[in-house]
Amino acid sequence: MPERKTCDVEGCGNRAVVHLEKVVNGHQSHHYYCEGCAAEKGIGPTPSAFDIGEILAQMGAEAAGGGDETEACGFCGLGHGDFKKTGRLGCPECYGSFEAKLRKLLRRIHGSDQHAGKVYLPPGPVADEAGRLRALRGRLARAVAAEDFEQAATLRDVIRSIEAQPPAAGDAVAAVPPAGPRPQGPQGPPAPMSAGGEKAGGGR
Amino acid sequence: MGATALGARLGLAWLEGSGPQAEVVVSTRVRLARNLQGSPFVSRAGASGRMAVLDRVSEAVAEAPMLQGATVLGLPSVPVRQRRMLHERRVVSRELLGAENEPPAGTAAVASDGCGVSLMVNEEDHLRLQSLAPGLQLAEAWRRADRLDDEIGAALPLAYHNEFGFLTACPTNAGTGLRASVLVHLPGLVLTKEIEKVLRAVSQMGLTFRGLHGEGSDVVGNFFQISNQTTLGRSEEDLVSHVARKVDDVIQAEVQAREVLLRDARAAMEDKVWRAYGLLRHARCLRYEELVNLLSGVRLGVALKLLPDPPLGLINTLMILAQPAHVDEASGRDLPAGERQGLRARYVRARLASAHRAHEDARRAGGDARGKEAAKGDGASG
Repeated sequence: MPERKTCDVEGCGNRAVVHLEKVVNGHQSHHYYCEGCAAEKGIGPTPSAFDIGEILAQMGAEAAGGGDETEACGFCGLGHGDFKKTGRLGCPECYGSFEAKLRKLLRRIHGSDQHAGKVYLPPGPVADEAGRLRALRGRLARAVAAEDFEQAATLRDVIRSIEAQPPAAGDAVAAVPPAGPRPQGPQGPPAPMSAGGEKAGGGR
Repeated sequence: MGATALGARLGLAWLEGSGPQAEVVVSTRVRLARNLQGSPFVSRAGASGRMAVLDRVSEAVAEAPMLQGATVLGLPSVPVRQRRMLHERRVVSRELLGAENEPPAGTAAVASDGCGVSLMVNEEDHLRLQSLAPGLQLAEAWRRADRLDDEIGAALPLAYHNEFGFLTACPTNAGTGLRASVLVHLPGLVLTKEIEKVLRAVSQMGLTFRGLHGEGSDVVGNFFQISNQTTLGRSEEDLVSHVARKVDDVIQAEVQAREVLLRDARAAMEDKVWRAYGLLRHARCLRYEELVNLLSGVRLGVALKLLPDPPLGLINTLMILAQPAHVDEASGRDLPAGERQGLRARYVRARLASAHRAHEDARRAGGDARGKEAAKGDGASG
């Protein structure tokens, strides 16, 4: 049973809950702080509901010899090895860059790699009217479920006004998404994270 | 954005009532993790990238009806004590305060006095939207967070993928980006030693529990935060109702444990809660951890009607406003620990005394009114 320590800060006397081990020039020292004093010093555990590092390490061990650690994201340059070290991705495009590995990781963490929540379409000119209607109907269903009738009425009006518009010649083309790569956003990365969303890596 | 930027009520709207199921539940929080399309995540953004994100978010905030009247607080220019107050008010995470209390350029909090929603900018993700409500109000907290998300998402293109949902820096938050957490007070389960069994069941149902201040914090005063662990593969409504159902189970277990305690150990319980109340009414020096432990006893006493006052809402208020940075701010300087503990004890005594006087006045007024009613009745019958 480890000995119960009190906080090192003079005059505090609270029970220590943080143990800080410092090694400076090969010199090791131990410091103990209560929660409040640790917070004041800006020391604290980096939070995560999961120990993602542990999961990644486990997956790395399972795939030993088979993984390509030099693989890097074409948008932000993050290497897969760096991701394994920190558990943090570099940019939205990393989801496309490391798609196969991430699918496996997402299934491991969440039991699924398929989003089942809100459908989102970014602001601005939207080529895919059907997608926009789908998103609006989703929001309407949620507003009704939440008994937010004011919001529901507004959404219903918007949906009706879109449905009532006869598609113009140009719109008719835009309303049916082309089979090829989607229109690019101003940032221009190949499309996994752009409006409407293709499968990750679909544009590559 | 100087010392006066942090209003006395900023981010504290949720303290205005105690909310549903207040005997067991302190508060409900729903947060959504979001990132901007086409920008590197915070860890790879650099100072200029973070500043660019903050500029775009500030424009979107100005457009969002739910954030009318909200203040954008650039954290590096907020005085240290006020930054700590924002953390104590649960508006910002410890992580946003930065290592060694130096928040990086571009980090910000957006909050107001009136609405129960706020934003953190450039924490682990570009945006963390949060909605905070007193008591158990998961559906309401989610509804508000969802609406804020719609408003922000209509002004800023967010990183989203049809299969993976909202894209986050850490894959543990991908999909909905939603964390619904409920702060519960479980002294009955702790005293009856049932707590481990209940928390084990919670963990097996895909939920996690943490201490008072969220991830990585210690359990103090029998307060626990229960939240969903996974964010992908289920809709937001499913996740929220799953947490609601499991929290209901925990509440039932706690209520039963309290009934057992009242039935089998009433005298000991009365002694425990009155001692806690007595100490708070008379102590001259209080450490924060001690305060929370004593408030835990008083909360239990009030919930079980063993103590007539204070109201549960005041107990929530004391837990926030008697924290170190708030006490220092009230005195206008950074206090040595001993002095702070003295001032904290004085503040707690004053608030409890005033609540007790209000309770006694109400009781006397009620007694007088009942007396007059009875006299009227006597007159009529005579």
